[in-house]
Amino acid sequence: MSWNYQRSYDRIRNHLDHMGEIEVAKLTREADLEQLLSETTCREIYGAHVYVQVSNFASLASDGLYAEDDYKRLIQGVHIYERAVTRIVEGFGGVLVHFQGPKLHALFYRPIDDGEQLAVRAVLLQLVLKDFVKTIFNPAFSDCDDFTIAGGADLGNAIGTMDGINGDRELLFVGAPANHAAKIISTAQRLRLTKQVYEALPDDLRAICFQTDDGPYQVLPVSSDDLDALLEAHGLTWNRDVSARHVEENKERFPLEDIAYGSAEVRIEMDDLSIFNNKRVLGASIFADVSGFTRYIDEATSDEKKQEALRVFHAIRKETARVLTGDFNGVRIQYQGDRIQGLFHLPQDDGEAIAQQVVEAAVGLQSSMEHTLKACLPEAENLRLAIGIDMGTTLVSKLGARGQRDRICLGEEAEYAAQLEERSEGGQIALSRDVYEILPDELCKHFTYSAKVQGYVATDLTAEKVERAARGSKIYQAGAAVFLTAGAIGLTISGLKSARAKSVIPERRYAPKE
Amino acid sequence: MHQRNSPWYQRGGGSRLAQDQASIAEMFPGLSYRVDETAGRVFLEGTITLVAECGVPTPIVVRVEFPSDYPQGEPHIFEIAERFPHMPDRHFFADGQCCLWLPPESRWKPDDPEGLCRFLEEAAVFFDQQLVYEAEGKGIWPGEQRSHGDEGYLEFVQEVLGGGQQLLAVFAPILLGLRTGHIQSNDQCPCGSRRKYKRCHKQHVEEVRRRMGSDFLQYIVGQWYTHTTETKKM
Repeated sequence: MSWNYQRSYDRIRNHLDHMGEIEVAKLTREADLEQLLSETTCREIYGAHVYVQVSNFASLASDGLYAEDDYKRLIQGVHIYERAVTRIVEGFGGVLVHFQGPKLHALFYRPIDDGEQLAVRAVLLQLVLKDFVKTIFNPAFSDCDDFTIAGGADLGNAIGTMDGINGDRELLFVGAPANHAAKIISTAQRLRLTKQVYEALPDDLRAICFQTDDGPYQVLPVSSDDLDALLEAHGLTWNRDVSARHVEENKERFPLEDIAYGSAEVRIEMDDLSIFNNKRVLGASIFADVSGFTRYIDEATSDEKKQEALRVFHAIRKETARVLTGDFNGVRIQYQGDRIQGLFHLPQDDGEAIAQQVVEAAVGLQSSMEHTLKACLPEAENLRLAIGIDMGTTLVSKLGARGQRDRICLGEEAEYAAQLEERSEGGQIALSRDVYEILPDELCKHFTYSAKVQGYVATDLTAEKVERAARGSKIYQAGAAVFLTAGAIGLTISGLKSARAKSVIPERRYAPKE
Repeated sequence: MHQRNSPWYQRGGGSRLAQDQASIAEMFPGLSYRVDETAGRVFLEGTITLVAECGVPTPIVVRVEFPSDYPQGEPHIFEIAERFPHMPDRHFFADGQCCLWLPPESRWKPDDPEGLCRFLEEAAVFFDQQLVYEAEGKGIWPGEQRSHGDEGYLEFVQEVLGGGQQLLAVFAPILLGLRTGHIQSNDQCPCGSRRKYKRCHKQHVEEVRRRMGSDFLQYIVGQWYTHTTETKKM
């Protein structure tokens, strides 16, 4: 398995040729977004995007902390947490975009264009989830470590679209609010808002917010009684008793003894997974984000430019998935806006081979971005990929409410890979120390430690660069011949003799006087 | 007389140009000829595309210039889009001319009908080495190279003689035709091998003379010898 220019170019062209015309219109009335949206039917949606994450999840899911039953309790806990959160989001009239591992992404867009109502829901959802975890979820799972919650919300226009695979369709949002809401989440247990959300809030909710030194606004903690009063004042309902009952019912419905996890000798089929069939594997998590895409789409103000940006978005989205799954036999976990998450777990338990495979896939992703995507879409010139990679024991599953099940990858290293990507710049591949240290020399030599990224980073590393660096010093030794073959596109120079290849012994170069 | 004064590409009924054009069209389709009738010059311009084994094409924009005595004189190739930094350590002259080899080591063969293609293949290997240099990121030239300026020529002379500076010091008077360097074929070779000169270093000395040209040899080796002997005296 490897990356190849022509194969990549052909599939991008084929995708673009069959994509059809993209339609972007403003969403003016309520609709079932999952039915309405598609790759080519896109809507500009004014809404509040909310992210709520279990801030201590990385340590909860870290390797070695759990005996078999503990691990099952974690799976059971995440599954029930996601089901309960889904009910709360829907009860508030929101749309569950998806869970990214244990991180919720929800959207409020109803009532249409009513900024105040949307901002109110974004704030109260965060407060309710915090209360839910503290008063219902953690007591119900007293034999697990407590979950803690952090959140972020932003308000504005984002474009909603969908990926186009039948039976595995995912809602996708691109644009500033979908991005900023995730970016302002702090590692501490804080609920945060952008200025746009704060300014749309009524006075009673503004009164419980303050501006932090680093910019975003923060929501002060409120008691359960005060929360109930705020919900009532704004016409929203959340019944603690009903939520608690559902959690207990779900614990009975998904008992520990029915939860199973095992290893995977062949590539994991995500659609086969469920709460009852999980995989626990040595896996390398990879996150690839299109750096500069949010600005690109926000600067696209005309319909024509928006169509162009979405065409670019879908081309990148599809090609990155094909590199991961088709070229390098990885598993696509999830699209997260303009980011893709993947997992490499084969050959089973062979860390060195997995590390090499995932880094070669990252190089393949950079090659597609820099060579073929830009060759097919010159308008993508300023877009780059930032990639983060880490490896460790990872739980892979499909959890959550019926019809809303999300592919998830749980583990400390999956979280750390995401953090490495977030600290990287466009054009970079960032590795954890664990991955770096077991890479073969021909790949390892391209990476150097970056204090800023807190990992080992290679910049502008593409397939042809790896290829040239690997063969260069070997074939250009004294008197060694190289082989030159003329093809349809141009000349190929290599160290291998092949049919029609001519040998050339390069002469010594003479450095002219400065 | 008319033949001698006409531009090279018209001599012999333009047969050399026609021959070159045919082989270039087959091997380097990205290059095309431009004739400047006013200046009486021909340029070969366009791209040489290097394709990595993974299929990534890298086009290099070049211009080939031909001397008025072409094909006796060798062509020069310039990288004109500044894809690479034009600096001596990368074997470029400041104007983008590629320094493909030390002139005495030139691979140019005036009588080879495929000579221009061979020359461009050497240039393609040169550009590939540039890409390898960048890919490796070590700042080290991937392959053999000679030093800057006169040092490079001295290295060449020493290499043909088969030794270092000490051997060059022994043969410098012979190479320079000095009175102290007078030697007969049947004399013992001054290298210390105890073999006859004609069976030892004579052909090497003649090779150096032939490839360097006597004037240039006088300049390069003469300068070095004067400096060495003066340093010794001090």
